[in-house]
Amino acid sequence: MLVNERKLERGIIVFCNWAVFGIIGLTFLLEGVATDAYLTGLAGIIGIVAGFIGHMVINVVFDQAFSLGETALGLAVFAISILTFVLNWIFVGLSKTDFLIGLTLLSILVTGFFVYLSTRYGIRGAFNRFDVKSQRRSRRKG
Amino acid sequence: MTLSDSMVWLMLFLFLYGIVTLYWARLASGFNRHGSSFFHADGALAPWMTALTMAGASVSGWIVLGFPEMIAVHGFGFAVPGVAGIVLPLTGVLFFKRQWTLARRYGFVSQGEIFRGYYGGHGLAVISVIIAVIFAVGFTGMQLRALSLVLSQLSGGETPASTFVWLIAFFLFAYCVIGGMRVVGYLGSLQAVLLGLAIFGLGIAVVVSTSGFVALNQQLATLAQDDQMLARRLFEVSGVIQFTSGIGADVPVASQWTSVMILSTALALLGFQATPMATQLILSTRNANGFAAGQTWVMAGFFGALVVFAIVLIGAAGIDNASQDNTIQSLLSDLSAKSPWFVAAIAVGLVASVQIIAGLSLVTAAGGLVRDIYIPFFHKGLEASEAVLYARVVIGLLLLTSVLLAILLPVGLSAIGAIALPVAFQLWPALIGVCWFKIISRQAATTGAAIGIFAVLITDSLGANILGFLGLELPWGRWPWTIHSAAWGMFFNLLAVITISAITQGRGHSGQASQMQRFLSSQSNRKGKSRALKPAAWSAVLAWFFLALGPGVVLGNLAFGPAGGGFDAWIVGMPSLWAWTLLFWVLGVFLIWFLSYKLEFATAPVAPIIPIEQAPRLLPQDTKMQGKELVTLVWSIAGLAGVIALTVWIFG
Repeated sequence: MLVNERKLERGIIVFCNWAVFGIIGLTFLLEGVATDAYLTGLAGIIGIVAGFIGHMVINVVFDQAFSLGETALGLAVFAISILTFVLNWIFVGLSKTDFLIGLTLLSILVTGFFVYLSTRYGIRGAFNRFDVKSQRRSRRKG
Repeated sequence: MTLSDSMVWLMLFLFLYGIVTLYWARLASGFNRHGSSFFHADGALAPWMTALTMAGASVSGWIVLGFPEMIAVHGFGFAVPGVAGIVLPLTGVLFFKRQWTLARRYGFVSQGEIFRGYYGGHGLAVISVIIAVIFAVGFTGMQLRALSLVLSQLSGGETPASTFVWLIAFFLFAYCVIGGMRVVGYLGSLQAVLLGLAIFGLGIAVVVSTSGFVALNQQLATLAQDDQMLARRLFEVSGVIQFTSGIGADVPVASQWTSVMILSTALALLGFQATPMATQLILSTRNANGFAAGQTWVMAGFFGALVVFAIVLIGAAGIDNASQDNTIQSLLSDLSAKSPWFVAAIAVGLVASVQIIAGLSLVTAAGGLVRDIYIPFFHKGLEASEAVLYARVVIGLLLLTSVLLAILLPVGLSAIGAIALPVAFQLWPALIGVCWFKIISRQAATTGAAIGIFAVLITDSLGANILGFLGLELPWGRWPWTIHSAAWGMFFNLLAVITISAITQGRGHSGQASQMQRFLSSQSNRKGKSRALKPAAWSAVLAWFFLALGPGVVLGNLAFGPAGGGFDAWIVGMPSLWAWTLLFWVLGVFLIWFLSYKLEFATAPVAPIIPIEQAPRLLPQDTKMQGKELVTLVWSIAGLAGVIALTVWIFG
């Protein structure tokens, strides 16, 4: 089987994974916010976390890492979530439950992000991923 | 939340879904290396993709949108065919592995080619293509219509159903013509997942809206004690058989859902995986490693559970619904006021459920019309790239026909869609001939299928309507003697097959037929142990059919408590017939597992398959377009139209 075709198959599974967990996560999160129900919102957050775990399992099975597009999309969604949360907090005002749901989601995502980096690359390796100067230096040497 | 909010969420979700379909279509088209890739994805689809797509297409929108409504109207008698999750994959267990093995060895890329290669004639290939067209136009159009009505209601009537028909058809057309069979397989996996999620979501919505599963069954128990309900026999199977003249000509006592009606409806379900679409998907698969798992765990296990639990649950809530509106529509309308995002997500799943079967049918029908009819009969030597172009045009024309029928002639479309499954079931003897018993000759299989299809037509509403149009009134209605048209068709089909096979004595095959049968035998190479299990397995299949769907199902009326005895009398806290169906679903999963794995009907072949050098084909090699045949065809159609017009003028 061609490498590209395998990549494509992984892509389909990733879409399937997010079709299930992404939709469950998003809808429960919205439901939790709309009805001021923390547990419903938490179910949504668990859905999103399950989506990430599923994505990482797929990566392991197919022996591949997050693609550039996936990373960019993930970071963009994360940034939009933070922006929406902050803007709503400042201009619209959030109920205590909504605030808690938002805070839980963002803190879990941030924690999850660092846990992922440290388990995949090690603590030093994770730091190096952001150390642009040393990366440039090593590229020049290489 | 107002309905406009739900419309916004609906459009947002549909838009995202549409973008995803086009994205995968573009990627898939890049992998179609040469012309014929469009039709069979170079036989490179991953087995898990095929498993998911096959299961999703088998369930598709017609079970999600149709079953709950039927249960709501006809009661738990119709819940018994809810073991569809077992009946549907049974065909695949028997035929998929063997069709795939033959195709790999002899280079067949469609069901029509398998029939041509084995039987050595064109008749069955033409019938196979006609069936694909019936699915692409009738079955697809019927589901498009039903879905668009649901979506229109969700929009609060702001958007007419026809707009949704065009919208869904546009995306369908776009991704099918761009990516062909490859994108049907890729997207099919995603669509099957969305379909599963939608059914699950609908089930949860019912449980929440009825204050829980126990509360719903308590309401059902109260309803079952109502004298009117008892008279309508909504919680029971209405006897074994009723010798009525059929729907439209006679009124059955209480309900038409007798056990014979249930069994014959299940036979129609056996038709789906015998269709050219199912074969096309199988032939587009990289290897046979996933057939057993797909049929057992994905189809019978996962989707079977969804049907027998969630779909029946939705229908049961519909029985309780005094207004008797369309069950899915009223459920989603109620939900859309509170949680429009949930409804939008479920709606996307419903769209996916229709598109999964529509895409598969369109690509297969277009491929069949071009490769199995147009090229061999009218344009031998057509370049592969040109064949793809023609197929794309045909996809457009088929879809346009389907859309126009859905908008302008919904009743006619329903009649065409209703015969799709029973007509497909008539391919069973031909497939048995190819895969199992050489005794069935070409003449027998072709004549049997033709007679079977004719019998289906005249025992279903389409044939009665056509004959009525010509001024001929049939003395019976739809499904006489409470026997579904699929069973009537198969009765006459088998009669013809057995008689003609006895006369032809195994003659009337292509030169390679014996070689193919020998090759299949060498590939199956069952061990002594599994050979010994064979009689037990077939006894188990017959017993299962008798008790789960046949006359034995009347035992289910009382097995878990009398219908009208109240909630306390229901031993497992649900109607006896539903519990009976659940029990036989569990046993059915075991049965499918046993056939697939233990008898090795669906496991991968024992040895690698080496393609033969000279594939048997019946395509002459001249490259001129056959103008004479085309002229003959045009004159034949004109003559037939003239005869019909004359008949209508005299008798109509």
